[in-house]
Amino acid sequence: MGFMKFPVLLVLGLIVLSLASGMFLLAKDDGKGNRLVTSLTFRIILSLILFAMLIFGAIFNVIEPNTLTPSAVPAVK
Amino acid sequence: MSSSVSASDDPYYIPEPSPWPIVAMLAIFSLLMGAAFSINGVGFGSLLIVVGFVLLGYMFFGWFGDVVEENMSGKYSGQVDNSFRQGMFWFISSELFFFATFFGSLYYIRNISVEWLGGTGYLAATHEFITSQFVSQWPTAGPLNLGGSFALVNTWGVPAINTAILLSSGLTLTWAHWGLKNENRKQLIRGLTMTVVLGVIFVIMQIQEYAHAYGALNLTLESGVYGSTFYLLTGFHGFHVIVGALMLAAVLGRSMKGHFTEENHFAFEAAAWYWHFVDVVWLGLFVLVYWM
Repeated sequence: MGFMKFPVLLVLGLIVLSLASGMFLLAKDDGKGNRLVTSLTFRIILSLILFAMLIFGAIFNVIEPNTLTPSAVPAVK
Repeated sequence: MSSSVSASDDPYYIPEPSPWPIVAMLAIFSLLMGAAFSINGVGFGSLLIVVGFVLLGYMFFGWFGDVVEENMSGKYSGQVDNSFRQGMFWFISSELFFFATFFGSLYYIRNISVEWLGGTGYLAATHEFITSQFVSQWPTAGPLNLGGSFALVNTWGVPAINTAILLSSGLTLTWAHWGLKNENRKQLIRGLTMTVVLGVIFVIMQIQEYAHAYGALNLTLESGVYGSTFYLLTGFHGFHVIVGALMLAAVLGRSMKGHFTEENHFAFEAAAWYWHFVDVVWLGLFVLVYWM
């Protein structure tokens, strides 16, 4: 995946953060206000950005999936 | 406490004695005994497992039904609502740690222990004495190739399509959530219906993908450490998708009955958060298992 690994992991980290803030708001806000639904909306927008990064990264050959053939050695007799 | 306080004003709601814990105990007992019998080849073991699942389903249906009934008849105070939220918070925490453990083991295997077998790191001596022909890389079939050679699932096949499906379901769910918040019941019901349908499609695709991987690709649970981590991570995720879709289906049924208001909708928010969580776990899998 090369250096593009880092922006991908950064966005993944931001997604986890927005989800985690949703977890606290679920417990704290008692269903009042729009803070939970807003944090979950951020979550889905960031996820779409991440998916688009992967697709466009692959189209422009910046990132590629790991397609290494699984390594093994012959069994030791 | 003053005796003039009525039951609904009392911060602590004490429910009536309930048969459900005993039914739950019987269900778990049947499941465990059934599993133990069938592992040991006793004929009626699988029948006991079926009985256990039926009892479990009956218990969930009945117990949650009672809770919904109590809620709808106005027995719950803000304190009860808060205790549901605290319960969900800790349940979510346990789920986070559950998946963090599996992702952690993937990291440990990939970046630490397979490296030792390949001759780097502080246990590199393993390589010198036991696995000297082994070249460390990921994926690996393991030094002894016990499960035979296997091929990888194509990232651009079902995994990418399933990512698109789950992301769409996240969108439809968020749309439903805003519908609930803006008191638009039609939007809530339509959004939830689409989310559940997308969840079911995801599970069907995943089952087909497993059949393909097990058959044509020879990627099995025995395919070294790659196969076991692959199926543990994606399998537990798939199980969570099924649970999440069941929760959302129950929430959809309740939405159709008009149970949720702009202020009283904890069940919706709990199930919705859970679905977002399942969605994020999949993104983690897509990036860390299928891509890297």
